[in-house]
Amino acid sequence: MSEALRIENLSKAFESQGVRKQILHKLNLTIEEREFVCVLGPSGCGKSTMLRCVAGFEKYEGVIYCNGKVVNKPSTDRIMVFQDYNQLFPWKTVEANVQYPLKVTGIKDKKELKRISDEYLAKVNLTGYQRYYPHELSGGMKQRVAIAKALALKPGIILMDEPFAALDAITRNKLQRELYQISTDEQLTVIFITHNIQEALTLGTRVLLMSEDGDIVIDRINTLEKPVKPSVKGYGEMWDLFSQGLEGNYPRENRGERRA
Amino acid sequence: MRKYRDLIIQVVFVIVCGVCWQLYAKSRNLMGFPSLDVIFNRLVYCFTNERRPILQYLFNSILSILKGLGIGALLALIFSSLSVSSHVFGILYNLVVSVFDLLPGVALLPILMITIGANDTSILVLVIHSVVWPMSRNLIDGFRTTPQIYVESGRNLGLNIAGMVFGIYIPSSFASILSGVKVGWARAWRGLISAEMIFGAAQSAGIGVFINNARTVWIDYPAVYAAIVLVIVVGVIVEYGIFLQIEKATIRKWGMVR
Repeated sequence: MSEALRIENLSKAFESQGVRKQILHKLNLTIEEREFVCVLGPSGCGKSTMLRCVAGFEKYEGVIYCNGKVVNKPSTDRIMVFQDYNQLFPWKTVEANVQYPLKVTGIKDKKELKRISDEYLAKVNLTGYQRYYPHELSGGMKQRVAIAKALALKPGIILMDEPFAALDAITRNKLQRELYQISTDEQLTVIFITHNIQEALTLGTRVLLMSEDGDIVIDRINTLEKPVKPSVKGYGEMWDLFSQGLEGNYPRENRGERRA
Repeated sequence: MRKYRDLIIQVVFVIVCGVCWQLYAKSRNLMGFPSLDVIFNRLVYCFTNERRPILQYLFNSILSILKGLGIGALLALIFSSLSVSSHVFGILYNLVVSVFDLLPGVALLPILMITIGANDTSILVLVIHSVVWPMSRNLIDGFRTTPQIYVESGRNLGLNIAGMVFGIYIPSSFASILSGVKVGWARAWRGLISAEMIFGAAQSAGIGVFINNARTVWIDYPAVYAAIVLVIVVGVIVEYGIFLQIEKATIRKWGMVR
């Protein structure tokens, strides 16, 4: 495996009303190709901020390398899937939403665009919805389109910021299963931010926990038997570890180290 | 069902108004208050007779307004894009818009007459003036309220400024833009006709000149009414035939308005 992303000494502070708040302080993280990294952490710990830095939406201190290149602005090799399911353009059909980024990156041939959008919409089980407008779809369907749109670009890394957090539990489970299937089929490299331990264990090949201070305090390769269910061996211990961790009780000796 | 009922109520109202008009006009027989059949016959006469070529006048007005609307909309687009991308330009332009938006176009006429002269250019400036400020307000509001998530989706694709404006900001603010064009059109149409009536003899005489001529030169009151009817008809066609259709094909279809 080769390296997809390397974050070195990432620091980020926000200033509001004259008060400076340090969100991230000298964070280090390396992600290999084909890793599906789930990042857990309490609200406000800086996990979304880290993702936004990787996406190139924020200025930061430190260095981020994506496929060897320094990140200084947004690019289609790091595609973001947002939590808000109103991320699709309402003025475009489902199909046009998937095709638009491809057009921007230089694919002009209409047949080719159609072929690609059909292929990826089929992967997210939305064949037949090409002509729909986003307002005619449910939240879960919109997130599927957003995922298809990201996949179609074949980015080096997909950045997902709690994409399923606003969905109901049943839809959420269904989308998790679909995404797991797609990520193994397509060998995706993903950073997936979530609050939900079950989701992290189901999807991730590697699960991280960020503390309130923005440090990575737990970093585990997910060795649970797939597909992950609460009944598989080791699930309970993993769940306990991260559940305790989210409340601030993590094994201190593990700080910053990677345990494989 | 409710829609049909509303329509019936409106139609009945119009018929009642028409009947009242007709009864009053027939009973008093005033020169300044012709009956509906006289107005209608006059309108037909104006359409067909060389001595009152109302369509030619109307065509001139529509041409001026299209020119003015086009230039005004383009200027509004340029200035609004600049004012959302540059802070200093933004605050200055905001000031300029607040000042000029309150100024009725007709109030500028004396100045235009002295500086530019009583010609088509003055009329064009006046139409542009009526369009550019309200449209700018709407465009800037639309651009400013473009959801952050569309902006970031656009940036994620590496769009440049032109790509962002045409690919994200304009479609996302289409509802505001459309209402800006509506306001701009209404103001320009009214402003144009007032200006034409005050100017009297502009180079290419519009429907306002026709109304004025009918009153002062031809002393033909039914023709005045006929022209007013035509002005209203054009307004209705633009509202329902153009704007409503654009709305149905865009923001309603996209679920951006109900």
